[in-house]
Amino acid sequence: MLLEARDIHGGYGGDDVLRGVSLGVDPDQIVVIVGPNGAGKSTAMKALFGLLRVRAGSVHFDGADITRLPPEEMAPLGFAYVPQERNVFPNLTVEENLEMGAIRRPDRKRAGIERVYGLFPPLRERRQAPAGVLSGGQRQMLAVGRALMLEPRILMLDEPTAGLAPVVIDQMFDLIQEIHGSGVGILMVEQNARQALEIATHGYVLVGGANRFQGTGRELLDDEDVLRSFLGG
Amino acid sequence: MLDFVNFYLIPGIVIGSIYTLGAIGISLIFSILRIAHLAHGDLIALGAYFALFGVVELGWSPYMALPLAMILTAATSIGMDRLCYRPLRRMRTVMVIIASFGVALMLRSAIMLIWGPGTEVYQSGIQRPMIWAGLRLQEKHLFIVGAAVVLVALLHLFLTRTTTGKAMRAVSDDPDLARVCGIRTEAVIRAMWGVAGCLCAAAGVFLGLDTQLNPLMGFSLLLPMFAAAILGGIGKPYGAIVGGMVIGIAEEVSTYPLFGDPLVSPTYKAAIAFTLMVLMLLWRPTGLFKGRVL
Repeated sequence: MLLEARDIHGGYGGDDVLRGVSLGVDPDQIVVIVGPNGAGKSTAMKALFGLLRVRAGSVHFDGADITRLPPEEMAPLGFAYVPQERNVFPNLTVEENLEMGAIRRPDRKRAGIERVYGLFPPLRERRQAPAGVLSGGQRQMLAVGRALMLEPRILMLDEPTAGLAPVVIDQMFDLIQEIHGSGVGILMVEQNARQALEIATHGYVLVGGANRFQGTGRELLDDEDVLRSFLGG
Repeated sequence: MLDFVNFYLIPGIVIGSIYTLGAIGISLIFSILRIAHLAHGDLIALGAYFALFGVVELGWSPYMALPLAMILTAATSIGMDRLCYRPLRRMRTVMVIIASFGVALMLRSAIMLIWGPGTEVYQSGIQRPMIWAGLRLQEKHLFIVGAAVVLVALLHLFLTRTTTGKAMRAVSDDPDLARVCGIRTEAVIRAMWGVAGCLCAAAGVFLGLDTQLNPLMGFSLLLPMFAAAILGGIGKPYGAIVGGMVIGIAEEVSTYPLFGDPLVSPTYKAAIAFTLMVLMLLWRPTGLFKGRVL
Protein backbone atom coordinates (compact mmCIF):
# COMPACT_ATOMS: atom_id res chain seq x y z
CA MET A 1 0.00 0.00 0.00
CA LEU A 2 1.24 3.51 -0.83
CA LEU A 3 -0.42 5.01 2.25
CA GLU A 4 -0.90 2.68 5.14
CA ALA A 5 -2.02 3.20 8.75
CA ARG A 6 -1.43 0.33 11.16
CA ASP A 7 -3.44 0.13 14.37
CA ILE A 8 -3.25 3.82 15.26
CA HIS A 9 -4.29 5.12 18.66
CA GLY A 10 -4.44 8.77 19.60
CA GLY A 11 -6.54 11.87 20.16
CA TYR A 12 -6.51 15.53 21.05
CA GLY A 13 -4.68 15.18 24.36
CA GLY A 14 -7.45 13.71 26.55
CA ASP A 15 -8.82 10.19 26.11
CA ASP A 16 -7.94 8.47 22.86
CA VAL A 17 -10.46 9.09 20.09
CA LEU A 18 -8.79 6.52 17.85
CA ARG A 19 -8.55 3.06 19.37
CA GLY A 20 -6.99 0.96 16.68
CA VAL A 21 -7.59 2.24 13.14
CA SER A 22 -5.94 0.46 10.25
CA LEU A 23 -6.39 1.34 6.62
CA GLY A 24 -4.55 1.56 3.35
CA VAL A 25 -4.81 3.33 0.00
CA ASP A 26 -3.13 2.74 -3.35
CA PRO A 27 -3.17 5.09 -6.35
CA ASP A 28 -5.62 2.83 -8.18
CA GLN A 29 -8.20 2.95 -5.38
CA ILE A 30 -10.98 5.18 -4.13
CA VAL A 31 -11.29 4.39 -0.45
CA VAL A 32 -14.26 5.64 1.56
CA ILE A 33 -14.49 5.77 5.34
CA VAL A 34 -18.04 5.62 6.68
CA GLY A 35 -19.43 5.35 10.18
CA PRO A 36 -21.68 7.05 12.70
CA ASN A 37 -21.04 10.55 14.04
CA GLY A 38 -18.18 10.60 16.51
CA ALA A 39 -16.65 7.42 15.11
CA GLY A 40 -13.36 9.27 14.58
CA LYS A 41 -13.45 9.46 10.77
CA SER A 42 -12.14 13.04 10.50
CA THR A 43 -9.83 12.44 13.44
CA ALA A 44 -8.30 9.47 11.65
CA MET A 45 -7.51 11.66 8.65
CA LYS A 46 -5.91 14.30 10.84
CA ALA A 47 -3.83 11.60 12.50
CA LEU A 48 -2.63 10.33 9.11
CA PHE A 49 -1.63 13.86 8.13
CA GLY A 50 0.37 14.57 11.27
CA LEU A 51 -2.15 17.03 12.69
CA LEU A 52 -2.53 15.22 15.99
CA ARG A 53 -0.35 13.07 18.16
CA VAL A 54 -0.41 9.41 17.31
CA ARG A 55 0.20 7.62 20.61
CA ALA A 56 0.63 4.14 19.23
CA GLY A 57 0.68 2.53 15.80
CA SER A 58 2.29 3.82 12.65
CA VAL A 59 1.61 5.61 9.38
CA HIS A 60 3.69 4.76 6.31
CA PHE A 61 3.83 6.55 2.97
CA ASP A 62 5.69 4.94 0.10
CA GLY A 63 7.49 2.71 2.56
CA ALA A 64 8.73 5.57 4.79
CA ASP A 65 7.51 6.02 8.34
CA ILE A 66 5.69 9.37 8.50
CA THR A 67 4.01 8.87 11.89
CA ARG A 68 5.90 11.72 13.56
CA LEU A 69 6.31 13.93 10.47
CA PRO A 70 4.77 17.44 10.87
CA PRO A 71 1.90 18.28 8.48
CA GLU A 72 3.95 20.81 6.47
CA GLU A 73 6.21 17.98 5.29
CA MET A 74 3.38 15.89 3.77
CA ALA A 75 2.65 17.90 0.61
CA PRO A 76 6.21 17.59 -0.75
CA LEU A 77 5.90 13.78 -0.46
CA GLY A 78 2.89 13.70 -2.77
CA PHE A 79 0.29 13.41 -0.02
CA ALA A 80 -2.42 16.10 0.03
CA TYR A 81 -5.35 16.78 2.34
CA VAL A 82 -8.48 18.91 2.03
CA PRO A 83 -9.97 19.61 5.48
CA GLN A 84 -13.74 19.75 5.81
CA GLU A 85 -14.14 23.34 6.90
CA ARG A 86 -11.90 26.34 6.59
CA ASN A 87 -10.12 24.80 3.65
CA VAL A 88 -9.34 28.01 1.74
CA PHE A 89 -7.63 31.26 2.80
CA PRO A 90 -10.56 33.72 2.65
CA ASN A 91 -8.43 36.89 2.38
CA LEU A 92 -6.18 35.54 -0.35
CA THR A 93 -7.30 35.64 -3.97
CA VAL A 94 -8.18 32.43 -5.80
CA GLU A 95 -4.83 32.44 -7.58
CA GLU A 96 -2.91 33.17 -4.37
CA ASN A 97 -4.68 30.22 -2.72
CA LEU A 98 -3.48 27.95 -5.53
CA GLU A 99 0.00 29.42 -5.23
CA MET A 100 0.08 28.41 -1.56
CA GLY A 101 -0.56 24.85 -2.67
CA ALA A 102 2.73 24.88 -4.59
CA ILE A 103 4.76 26.80 -2.03
CA ARG A 104 7.28 24.00 -1.64
CA ARG A 105 7.84 23.64 -5.37
CA PRO A 106 7.66 27.13 -6.93
CA ASP A 107 8.95 25.71 -10.22
CA ARG A 108 5.68 23.79 -10.59
CA LYS A 109 3.42 26.74 -9.75
CA ARG A 110 2.59 27.90 -13.29
CA ALA A 111 1.82 24.44 -14.68
CA GLY A 112 -0.20 23.55 -11.58
CA ILE A 113 -2.36 26.67 -11.81
CA GLU A 114 -3.07 26.03 -15.50
CA ARG A 115 -3.97 22.40 -14.78
CA VAL A 116 -6.38 23.40 -11.99
CA TYR A 117 -8.01 26.08 -14.18
CA GLY A 118 -8.41 23.43 -16.86
CA LEU A 119 -10.13 21.15 -14.35
CA PHE A 120 -12.27 23.92 -12.80
CA PRO A 121 -12.90 26.64 -15.45
CA PRO A 122 -15.02 28.85 -13.12
CA LEU A 123 -11.93 29.43 -10.97
CA ARG A 124 -10.09 31.02 -13.87
CA GLU A 125 -12.81 33.64 -14.23
CA ARG A 126 -12.58 34.48 -10.53
CA ARG A 127 -8.80 34.29 -10.20
CA GLN A 128 -8.49 37.78 -8.68
CA ALA A 129 -11.45 37.43 -6.30
CA PRO A 130 -10.80 36.82 -2.60
CA ALA A 131 -11.64 33.20 -1.80
CA GLY A 132 -13.96 34.40 0.96
CA VAL A 133 -16.55 35.65 -1.55
CA LEU A 134 -16.80 32.38 -3.56
CA SER A 135 -19.93 30.22 -3.53
CA GLY A 136 -19.80 26.99 -1.55
CA GLY A 137 -19.21 24.88 -4.66
CA GLN A 138 -16.47 27.14 -6.01
CA ARG A 139 -14.80 27.25 -2.63
CA GLN A 140 -14.75 23.45 -2.52
CA MET A 141 -13.30 23.37 -6.06
CA LEU A 142 -10.60 25.80 -4.95
CA ALA A 143 -9.79 23.69 -1.90
CA VAL A 144 -9.45 20.56 -4.04
CA GLY A 145 -7.53 22.51 -6.69
CA ARG A 146 -5.07 23.76 -4.10
CA ALA A 147 -4.47 20.19 -2.94
CA LEU A 148 -3.82 19.10 -6.55
CA MET A 149 -1.14 21.74 -7.18
CA LEU A 150 1.79 19.40 -6.61
CA GLU A 151 0.16 16.43 -8.40
CA PRO A 152 -0.20 14.30 -5.27
CA ARG A 153 -0.25 10.50 -5.45
CA ILE A 154 -2.76 10.32 -2.59
CA LEU A 155 -5.53 12.87 -2.03
CA MET A 156 -7.42 12.87 1.26
CA LEU A 157 -10.87 14.55 1.25
CA ASP A 158 -12.85 15.23 4.41
CA GLU A 159 -16.56 15.47 3.52
CA PRO A 160 -16.00 17.09 0.12
CA THR A 161 -19.75 17.53 -0.48
CA ALA A 162 -20.74 18.93 2.93
CA GLY A 163 -23.09 21.88 2.57
CA LEU A 164 -23.33 21.68 -1.23
CA ALA A 165 -26.51 21.70 -3.33
CA PRO A 166 -27.55 18.26 -4.73
CA VAL A 167 -26.58 19.19 -8.31
CA VAL A 168 -23.17 20.34 -7.15
CA ILE A 169 -22.75 17.16 -5.10
CA ASP A 170 -23.14 15.08 -8.28
CA GLN A 171 -20.56 17.28 -10.04
CA MET A 172 -18.20 16.82 -7.13
CA PHE A 173 -18.46 13.03 -7.30
CA ASP A 174 -17.81 13.16 -11.06
CA LEU A 175 -14.77 15.31 -10.41
CA ILE A 176 -13.42 12.99 -7.76
CA GLN A 177 -13.66 10.13 -10.28
CA GLU A 178 -11.98 12.26 -12.92
CA ILE A 179 -9.11 13.07 -10.56
CA HIS A 180 -8.82 9.42 -9.65
CA GLY A 181 -8.75 8.58 -13.35
CA SER A 182 -5.54 10.56 -13.69
CA GLY A 183 -3.83 8.18 -11.28
CA VAL A 184 -4.47 9.76 -7.87
CA GLY A 185 -5.45 7.51 -4.98
CA ILE A 186 -8.44 8.93 -3.08
CA LEU A 187 -9.21 8.51 0.60
CA MET A 188 -12.38 10.22 1.71
CA VAL A 189 -14.83 10.60 4.53
CA GLU A 190 -18.30 11.17 3.17
CA GLN A 191 -21.70 11.73 4.71
CA ASN A 192 -23.45 10.70 1.50
CA ALA A 193 -22.19 7.22 2.31
CA ARG A 194 -24.32 5.38 -0.21
CA GLN A 195 -23.33 7.60 -3.13
CA ALA A 196 -19.68 7.50 -2.04
CA LEU A 197 -19.62 3.71 -1.76
CA GLU A 198 -21.07 3.47 -5.29
CA ILE A 199 -17.86 4.95 -6.68
CA ALA A 200 -15.54 3.43 -4.07
CA THR A 201 -13.22 0.55 -4.75
CA HIS A 202 -12.80 -0.05 -1.02
CA GLY A 203 -14.65 0.98 2.10
CA TYR A 204 -14.00 0.95 5.82
CA VAL A 205 -16.63 1.23 8.52
CA LEU A 206 -15.33 2.92 11.65
CA VAL A 207 -17.18 2.62 14.95
CA GLY A 208 -15.97 4.03 18.26
CA GLY A 209 -12.58 4.90 16.84
CA ALA A 210 -11.81 1.39 15.55
CA ASN A 211 -12.31 -0.66 12.38
CA ARG A 212 -15.61 -2.55 12.34
CA PHE A 213 -16.07 -3.77 8.75
CA GLN A 214 -14.10 -3.43 5.60
CA GLY A 215 -14.46 -4.60 2.03
CA THR A 216 -15.03 -3.43 -1.49
CA GLY A 217 -17.59 -0.68 -1.96
CA ARG A 218 -20.03 -3.23 -3.36
CA GLU A 219 -19.59 -5.62 -0.42
CA LEU A 220 -20.37 -2.89 2.10
CA LEU A 221 -23.42 -1.76 0.12
CA ASP A 222 -24.69 -5.34 0.02
CA ASP A 223 -23.97 -6.06 3.70
CA GLU A 224 -27.21 -6.19 5.69
CA ASP A 225 -25.57 -5.04 8.96
CA VAL A 226 -23.75 -2.12 7.41
CA LEU A 227 -26.82 -1.09 5.50
CA ARG A 228 -29.09 -1.16 8.51
CA SER A 229 -26.68 0.42 10.99
CA PHE A 230 -24.91 3.10 9.02
CA LEU A 231 -26.58 3.74 5.74
CA GLY A 232 -30.07 4.27 7.08
CA GLY A 233 -31.74 1.03 5.90
CA MET B 1 -4.19 79.36 9.23
CA LEU B 2 -0.55 78.98 8.13
CA ASP B 3 0.48 78.82 11.77
CA PHE B 4 -1.98 75.95 12.21
CA VAL B 5 -0.43 74.06 9.29
CA ASN B 6 3.17 74.86 10.21
CA PHE B 7 3.09 74.27 13.94
CA TYR B 8 0.27 71.75 14.39
CA LEU B 9 -0.60 69.88 11.20
CA ILE B 10 2.93 69.27 9.87
CA PRO B 11 4.30 68.06 13.23
CA GLY B 12 1.17 65.91 13.51
CA ILE B 13 1.85 64.28 10.13
CA VAL B 14 5.50 63.71 11.09
CA ILE B 15 4.75 62.06 14.42
CA GLY B 16 1.82 60.25 12.73
CA SER B 17 4.26 58.72 10.22
CA ILE B 18 6.39 57.46 13.09
CA TYR B 19 3.37 56.01 14.94
CA THR B 20 2.26 54.41 11.68
CA LEU B 21 5.52 52.50 11.23
CA GLY B 22 5.32 51.23 14.82
CA ALA B 23 1.62 50.43 14.65
CA ILE B 24 2.01 48.45 11.41
CA GLY B 25 4.58 46.26 13.16
CA ILE B 26 2.32 45.76 16.18
CA SER B 27 -0.55 44.80 13.89
CA LEU B 28 1.60 42.49 11.79
CA ILE B 29 2.87 40.66 14.88
CA PHE B 30 -0.67 40.37 16.21
CA SER B 31 -1.97 39.03 12.91
CA ILE B 32 0.54 36.16 12.93
CA LEU B 33 1.18 35.39 16.61
CA ARG B 34 -1.98 36.82 18.24
CA ILE B 35 0.03 38.66 20.87
CA ALA B 36 0.31 42.29 21.98
CA HIS B 37 4.03 42.88 21.62
CA LEU B 38 4.94 45.01 24.62
CA ALA B 39 8.65 45.21 23.71
CA HIS B 40 7.83 47.07 20.51
CA GLY B 41 8.62 50.52 21.90
CA ASP B 42 11.98 49.46 23.29
CA LEU B 43 12.83 47.74 20.02
CA ILE B 44 12.22 51.12 18.37
CA ALA B 45 14.56 52.78 20.88
CA LEU B 46 17.19 50.12 20.17
CA GLY B 47 16.90 50.88 16.44
CA ALA B 48 17.50 54.56 17.13
CA TYR B 49 20.61 53.72 19.17
CA PHE B 50 21.96 51.35 16.50
CA ALA B 51 21.88 54.31 14.10
CA LEU B 52 23.60 56.43 16.77
CA PHE B 53 26.41 53.89 16.67
CA GLY B 54 26.77 54.53 12.94
CA VAL B 55 26.68 58.29 13.45
CA VAL B 56 29.11 58.47 16.38
CA GLU B 57 31.50 55.58 15.76
CA LEU B 58 31.53 55.45 11.95
CA GLY B 59 30.92 59.12 11.27
CA TRP B 60 27.91 58.43 9.02
CA SER B 61 24.92 60.69 8.58
CA PRO B 62 21.77 59.41 10.30
CA TYR B 63 20.23 58.81 6.86
CA MET B 64 23.11 56.53 5.91
CA ALA B 65 22.94 54.82 9.29
CA LEU B 66 19.28 53.87 8.73
CA PRO B 67 19.97 50.70 6.68
CA LEU B 68 22.52 49.59 9.28
CA ALA B 69 19.99 50.15 12.08
CA MET B 70 17.38 48.18 10.11
CA ILE B 71 19.65 45.18 9.64
CA LEU B 72 20.76 45.13 13.27
CA THR B 73 17.25 45.61 14.64
CA ALA B 74 15.83 42.92 12.35
CA ALA B 75 18.54 40.53 13.54
CA THR B 76 17.82 41.42 17.17
CA SER B 77 14.08 40.83 16.65
CA ILE B 78 14.67 37.42 15.10
CA GLY B 79 17.11 36.46 17.87
CA MET B 80 14.74 37.69 20.55
CA ASP B 81 11.94 35.57 19.10
CA ARG B 82 14.17 32.53 18.91
CA LEU B 83 15.37 32.88 22.52
CA CYS B 84 12.38 34.31 24.37
CA TYR B 85 9.15 33.73 22.44
CA ARG B 86 9.56 30.57 20.39
CA PRO B 87 10.00 28.28 23.42
CA LEU B 88 6.58 29.53 24.62
CA ARG B 89 4.83 29.14 21.26
CA ARG B 90 2.67 26.19 22.30
CA MET B 91 1.57 27.78 25.56
CA ARG B 92 -1.26 30.27 26.00
CA THR B 93 -0.46 33.54 24.26
CA VAL B 94 -0.63 35.51 27.52
CA MET B 95 2.67 33.85 28.45
CA VAL B 96 4.31 35.34 25.37
CA ILE B 97 2.81 38.76 26.11
CA ILE B 98 4.30 38.68 29.60
CA ALA B 99 7.61 37.48 28.16
CA SER B 100 7.54 40.45 25.79
CA PHE B 101 7.24 42.74 28.84
CA GLY B 102 10.37 41.11 30.22
CA VAL B 103 12.13 41.57 26.89
CA ALA B 104 11.12 45.25 26.96
CA LEU B 105 12.86 45.71 30.31
CA MET B 106 15.94 43.84 29.10
CA LEU B 107 16.24 45.93 25.93
CA ARG B 108 15.83 49.17 27.87
CA SER B 109 18.46 48.15 30.42
CA ALA B 110 20.82 47.06 27.66
CA ILE B 111 20.50 50.49 26.03
CA MET B 112 21.27 52.19 29.35
CA LEU B 113 24.25 49.91 29.96
CA ILE B 114 25.76 50.46 26.52
CA TRP B 115 24.88 54.09 25.75
CA GLY B 116 24.16 55.48 29.22
CA PRO B 117 20.90 56.86 30.63
CA GLY B 118 21.28 60.40 29.27
CA THR B 119 19.91 62.17 26.21
CA GLU B 120 21.69 61.94 22.86
CA VAL B 121 21.22 63.61 19.48
CA TYR B 122 22.29 62.66 15.94
CA GLN B 123 23.11 66.23 14.94
CA SER B 124 23.49 69.19 17.26
CA GLY B 125 22.55 72.71 16.26
CA ILE B 126 19.37 74.03 14.74
CA GLN B 127 18.30 73.31 11.18
CA ARG B 128 16.81 76.27 9.37
CA PRO B 129 13.54 75.35 7.68
CA MET B 130 12.96 76.12 4.03
CA ILE B 131 10.07 78.50 3.52
CA TRP B 132 7.90 77.54 0.56
CA ALA B 133 4.69 79.50 -0.05
CA GLY B 134 4.54 80.28 3.62
CA LEU B 135 5.04 76.64 4.61
CA ARG B 136 7.96 75.96 6.92
CA LEU B 137 9.44 72.71 5.68
CA GLN B 138 12.37 71.07 7.40
CA GLU B 139 14.55 68.68 5.48
CA LYS B 140 14.29 66.02 8.19
CA HIS B 141 10.50 66.24 8.19
CA LEU B 142 10.34 65.78 4.43
CA PHE B 143 12.67 62.82 4.76
CA ILE B 144 10.65 61.22 7.57
CA VAL B 145 7.31 61.47 5.78
CA GLY B 146 8.78 60.54 2.39
CA ALA B 147 10.63 57.53 3.76
CA ALA B 148 7.55 56.39 5.69
CA VAL B 149 5.50 56.48 2.48
CA VAL B 150 8.18 54.50 0.63
CA LEU B 151 8.41 51.90 3.43
CA VAL B 152 4.64 51.42 3.55
CA ALA B 153 4.56 51.04 -0.25
CA LEU B 154 7.39 48.49 -0.10
CA LEU B 155 5.55 46.57 2.63
CA HIS B 156 2.43 46.51 0.47
CA LEU B 157 4.40 45.14 -2.47
CA PHE B 158 6.05 42.58 -0.19
CA LEU B 159 2.70 41.33 1.16
CA THR B 160 0.98 41.14 -2.23
CA ARG B 161 3.75 40.27 -4.71
CA THR B 162 6.24 37.98 -2.99
CA THR B 163 5.71 34.36 -2.05
CA THR B 164 6.88 35.01 1.51
CA GLY B 165 4.49 37.94 1.84
CA LYS B 166 1.58 35.86 0.56
CA ALA B 167 2.54 33.03 2.90
CA MET B 168 2.49 35.57 5.75
CA ARG B 169 -1.08 36.51 4.86
CA ALA B 170 -1.96 32.82 4.60
CA VAL B 171 -0.60 32.07 8.09
CA SER B 172 -2.50 35.10 9.39
CA ASP B 173 -5.71 33.79 7.77
CA ASP B 174 -5.46 30.20 8.98
CA PRO B 175 -2.27 28.80 10.54
CA ASP B 176 -3.48 25.17 10.44
CA LEU B 177 -4.40 25.26 6.76
CA ALA B 178 -1.07 26.98 6.06
CA ARG B 179 0.77 23.97 7.52
CA VAL B 180 -1.45 21.59 5.55
CA CYS B 181 -0.34 23.44 2.38
CA GLY B 182 3.28 22.85 3.31
CA ILE B 183 4.07 26.36 4.56
CA ARG B 184 6.88 26.30 7.12
CA THR B 185 5.30 28.48 9.77
CA GLU B 186 8.53 29.15 11.66
CA ALA B 187 10.20 30.52 8.52
CA VAL B 188 7.24 32.83 7.99
CA ILE B 189 7.43 34.00 11.61
CA ARG B 190 11.15 34.74 11.19
CA ALA B 191 10.45 36.81 8.07
CA MET B 192 7.69 38.62 9.96
CA TRP B 193 10.14 39.58 12.75
CA GLY B 194 12.62 40.74 10.15
CA VAL B 195 10.02 43.05 8.61
CA ALA B 196 8.80 44.28 12.01
CA GLY B 197 12.42 44.91 13.09
CA CYS B 198 13.12 47.01 9.99
CA LEU B 199 9.98 49.09 10.60
CA CYS B 200 10.98 49.53 14.26
CA ALA B 201 14.44 50.77 13.29
CA ALA B 202 12.92 53.28 10.85
CA ALA B 203 10.49 54.56 13.49
CA GLY B 204 13.33 54.89 16.01
CA VAL B 205 15.69 56.70 13.66
CA PHE B 206 12.91 59.06 12.53
CA LEU B 207 11.98 59.86 16.12
CA GLY B 208 15.63 60.47 16.94
CA LEU B 209 15.92 62.78 13.95
CA ASP B 210 12.76 64.65 14.86
CA THR B 211 13.62 65.08 18.54
CA GLN B 212 16.34 63.32 20.48
CA LEU B 213 17.31 59.90 21.79
CA ASN B 214 16.88 58.64 25.32
CA PRO B 215 16.45 55.14 26.69
CA LEU B 216 12.76 55.74 27.47
CA MET B 217 11.89 57.14 24.05
CA GLY B 218 10.35 53.88 22.88
CA PHE B 219 8.36 53.22 25.99
CA SER B 220 6.58 56.55 25.64
CA LEU B 221 5.64 55.56 22.07
CA LEU B 222 3.98 52.33 23.16
CA LEU B 223 0.64 53.81 24.16
CA PRO B 224 0.04 55.95 21.06
CA MET B 225 1.20 53.08 18.83
CA PHE B 226 -1.20 50.61 20.42
CA ALA B 227 -3.92 53.26 20.19
CA ALA B 228 -3.13 53.58 16.48
CA ALA B 229 -3.15 49.81 15.94
CA ILE B 230 -6.47 49.46 17.75
CA LEU B 231 -7.99 52.40 15.87
CA GLY B 232 -7.12 50.72 12.59
CA GLY B 233 -8.27 47.33 13.89
CA ILE B 234 -5.56 45.28 15.55
CA GLY B 235 -4.20 42.66 13.18
CA LYS B 236 -4.92 44.84 10.14
CA PRO B 237 -1.65 46.52 9.12
CA TYR B 238 -3.38 48.65 6.49
CA GLY B 239 -5.71 50.04 9.13
CA ALA B 240 -2.67 50.94 11.24
CA ILE B 241 -1.66 53.50 8.61
CA VAL B 242 -4.87 55.44 9.15
CA GLY B 243 -4.72 54.84 12.91
CA GLY B 244 -1.18 56.19 13.18
CA MET B 245 -2.02 59.33 11.22
CA VAL B 246 -5.21 59.98 13.17
CA ILE B 247 -3.47 59.63 16.55
CA GLY B 248 -0.45 61.72 15.50
CA ILE B 249 -2.49 64.55 14.05
CA ALA B 250 -5.06 64.47 16.88
CA GLU B 251 -2.30 64.77 19.49
CA GLU B 252 -0.76 67.82 17.86
CA VAL B 253 -3.94 69.54 16.77
CA SER B 254 -5.47 69.13 20.22
CA THR B 255 -3.05 71.76 21.52
CA TYR B 256 -4.08 74.36 18.92
CA PRO B 257 -5.06 77.66 20.62
CA LEU B 258 -8.35 78.00 18.77
CA PHE B 259 -9.90 80.29 21.42
CA GLY B 260 -6.70 81.90 22.68
CA ASP B 261 -5.70 79.06 24.99
CA PRO B 262 -4.61 75.62 23.77
CA LEU B 263 -7.66 73.34 23.41
CA VAL B 264 -5.86 70.78 25.57
CA SER B 265 -2.75 71.59 27.55
CA PRO B 266 0.28 70.00 25.83
CA THR B 267 0.97 68.24 29.12
CA TYR B 268 -2.08 66.09 28.48
CA LYS B 269 -1.19 65.21 24.88
CA ALA B 270 -0.66 61.58 25.83
CA ALA B 271 -4.20 61.40 27.17
CA ILE B 272 -5.53 62.09 23.67
CA ALA B 273 -4.27 58.76 22.36
CA PHE B 274 -5.60 57.04 25.47
CA THR B 275 -9.03 58.65 25.11
CA LEU B 276 -9.27 57.75 21.42
CA MET B 277 -8.23 54.16 22.19
CA VAL B 278 -10.81 53.73 24.97
CA LEU B 279 -13.59 55.31 22.89
CA MET B 280 -12.67 53.06 19.97
CA LEU B 281 -12.68 49.94 22.14
CA LEU B 282 -16.13 50.89 23.46
CA TRP B 283 -17.58 51.90 20.12
CA ARG B 284 -15.96 49.52 17.61
CA PRO B 285 -13.49 47.09 19.17
CA THR B 286 -12.70 45.64 15.75
CA GLY B 287 -11.40 48.96 14.44
CA LEU B 288 -12.55 51.50 11.90
CA PHE B 289 -12.58 49.11 8.98
CA LYS B 290 -14.43 45.91 8.28
CA GLY B 291 -13.02 42.59 7.14
CA ARG B 292 -9.53 41.78 5.92
CA VAL B 293 -7.08 40.87 8.61
CA LEU B 294 -3.84 41.69 6.66
